Amino acid sequence: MANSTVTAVYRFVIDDVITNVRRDFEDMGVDETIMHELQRSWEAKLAQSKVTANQPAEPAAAVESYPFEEPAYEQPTTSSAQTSSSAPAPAPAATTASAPVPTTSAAVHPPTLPPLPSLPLPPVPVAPPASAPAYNYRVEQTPAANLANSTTLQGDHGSVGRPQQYAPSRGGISLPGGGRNGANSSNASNNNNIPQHDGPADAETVELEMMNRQELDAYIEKMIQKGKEQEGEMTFTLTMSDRAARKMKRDGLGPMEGFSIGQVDGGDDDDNNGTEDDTGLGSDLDDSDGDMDEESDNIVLCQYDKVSRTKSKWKCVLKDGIMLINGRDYLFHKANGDFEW
Amino acid sequence: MSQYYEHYRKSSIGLALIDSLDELIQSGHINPQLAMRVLAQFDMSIADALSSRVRNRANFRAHLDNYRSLDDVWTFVLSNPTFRFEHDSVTADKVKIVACKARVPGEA
Repeated sequence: MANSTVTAVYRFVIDDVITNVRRDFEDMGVDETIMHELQRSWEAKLAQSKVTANQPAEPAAAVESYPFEEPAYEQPTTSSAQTSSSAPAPAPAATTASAPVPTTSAAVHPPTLPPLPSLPLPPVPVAPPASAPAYNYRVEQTPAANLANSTTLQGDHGSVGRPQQYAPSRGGISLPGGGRNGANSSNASNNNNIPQHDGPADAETVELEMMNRQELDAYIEKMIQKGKEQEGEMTFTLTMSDRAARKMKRDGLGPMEGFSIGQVDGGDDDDNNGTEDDTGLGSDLDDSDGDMDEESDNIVLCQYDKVSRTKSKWKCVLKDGIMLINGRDYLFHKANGDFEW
Repeated sequence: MSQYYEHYRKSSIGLALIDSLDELIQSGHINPQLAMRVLAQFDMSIADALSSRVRNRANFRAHLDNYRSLDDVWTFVLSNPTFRFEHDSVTADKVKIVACKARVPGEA
């Protein structure tokens, strides 16, 4: 199976790179622990991408515990199969949140490498600081509730399981909330006269992309209406086509005009023109390149020995290829391709 | 000067390395120069590994949608390719091939 060598080859590449850049790290005065952190992060990302998954030699559990992790970085040719089967790799002492590996194995094996310092990466999502009192949350559970007035819960919050879901907005505290909380604090600020400066909620932003034009217009109307009712300052940012912005302007920001006026001036010519103008490439010849540069999930990176064509039949001899097909990596030393144009 | 192709950086293992290097640069642990050194080393290592450690052969057939040869780099866009290895085969609906002119690793 072509894929079975992938893990071993990647193991070799990682070890070879790490071994050979050691000198560069020294020359630049960068601590060796950073180099090990680079290796750990590299292996973790590769494992996350799952391009080497579904291999018989690679049980799923081994992937979770990072089969690429090796205690001895100085051995570039150790096969990963040995590593994953012989012993659990000692996890770094300072395991970050993205590496939910049980760190007990570090105690079992006296680590041959120095414990890594607690590097601040990858960023660990943290709950908002518990500076706000644990009462007077304004809690909304469903998106639909965003439209209604927010619910104010007082007192007992024993049933609230995930406090980081709720942005405590009380008194002068105004936290930029994530997800639904942003909408919540927007409503809350309506009631409390606290201006919201952090734009609409993330959840609503996601919704925006799924709205059709009328819903979008209605949403904009709502926001504007809210802005009028609300004392103080309100800002919200929409990162969509400037056509919508122009339409808003054209409609004079009237409360209901956006709803009632249909588009009578033909199709979305603004969009089409805008796209072409934005690229700055107006030539018709560019059209053919669109297909070539279109990002495909499946890609083969290789070298060619020979490419030949007879009429519409193409033959090519490729070598040293890395293929990413359907989310899995394959390697080949040589490949013959026959295409018909 | 550059004796090794850099296009393997776009592979899964290369992108993973670039991601990791980016994070270390963002956090200020390494500078971009060191990251470039690491990537240059990666170019060498992956080329060596592919030429000396991979022995698989593959055959594939496909419909050729588009092709381009520019500066000794062939780009093919194939539809409905079937890749056959020794023991299994893989199909996809589209695949893009980027092939640089073959050369022995390390030689200019």
